[in-house]
Amino acid sequence: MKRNKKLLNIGLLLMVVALIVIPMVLNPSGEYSGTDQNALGMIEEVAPSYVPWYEVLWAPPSGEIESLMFTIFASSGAAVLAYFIGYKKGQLAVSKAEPSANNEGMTTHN
Amino acid sequence: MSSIAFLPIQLSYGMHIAEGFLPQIWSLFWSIAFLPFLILSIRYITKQFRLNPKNRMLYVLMAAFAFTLSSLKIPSLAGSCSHPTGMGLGAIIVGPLPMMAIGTVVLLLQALLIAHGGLTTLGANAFSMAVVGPLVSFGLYKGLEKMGVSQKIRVFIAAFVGSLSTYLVTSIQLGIAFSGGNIIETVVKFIGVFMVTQVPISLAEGLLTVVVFNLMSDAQMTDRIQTEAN
Repeated sequence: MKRNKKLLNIGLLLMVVALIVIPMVLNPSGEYSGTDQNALGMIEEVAPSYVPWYEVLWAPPSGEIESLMFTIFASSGAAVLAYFIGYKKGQLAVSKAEPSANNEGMTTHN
Repeated sequence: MSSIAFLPIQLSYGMHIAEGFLPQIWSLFWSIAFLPFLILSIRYITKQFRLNPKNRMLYVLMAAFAFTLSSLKIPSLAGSCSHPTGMGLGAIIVGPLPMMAIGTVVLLLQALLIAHGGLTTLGANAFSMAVVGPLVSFGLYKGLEKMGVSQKIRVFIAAFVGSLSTYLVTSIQLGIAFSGGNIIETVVKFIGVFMVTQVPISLAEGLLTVVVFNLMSDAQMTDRIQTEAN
């Protein structure tokens, strides 16, 4: 990837990091629970007599297990993305290095 | 307070309506409203799988992106955390239609494995996140293209606004369901709860979408967008 593109991506990622860090810096006393709780709080406020009519079938028994689930989702998704994008980049590099080699794969044909 | 006190502590973060927290009528309503889109989406995907085998990888990738992004808990100034939707990239690259089924799978797994969202609220959550979100993202992307906006900016805006629109719809769904006669006022209250948190998260979503779009574009994986996304 050309240097400019790399810098752009790094810059964008740094902006994401900033978005994550800034709230914690500006609001260190925030409890940072999930917004579902806030939504539930608002429901409580707006309709105090409301009782949920269906229960969660299964919830992770602890915060640790919940983190495990999130980690599995996040890392599986990232692994799939990285694998296929890397594969295609590799294919591209090979086809550029050997223009006479077969050009099947990602070249655009409709 | 009783209804909330009985919820497990780890009951979900992020913007979806929690299990059982949409009255039965509305649970049914949104499920019915959402179903035709799901059916269309599944039919489209199965057709594309047969006709265009190369699209399979793209669908898998867009699902992977959705899973990854929707697992990221991002804090906000309001002192809470939420997740991006991860739908924007797919809406742009493979179109909004397949994303409806993909988003549903994400929501289903979240409901079953992390107690995030719910089965009774699947229809409503899918309508906001898997139907409206991708449609908004796709529409913006195409519309801005006609206006000559550069591609990366289009990607960002499409993902950012699509993400915000998801939560706007959620606010409306909750507002309507719990209005007690005063729909607009209630909707505005829910918007107030969500939107402050969601703006930075949608910004982060936009940025991350551009990053992955750049990576894919660099690997020439996005060249097929225009021709396949019909």
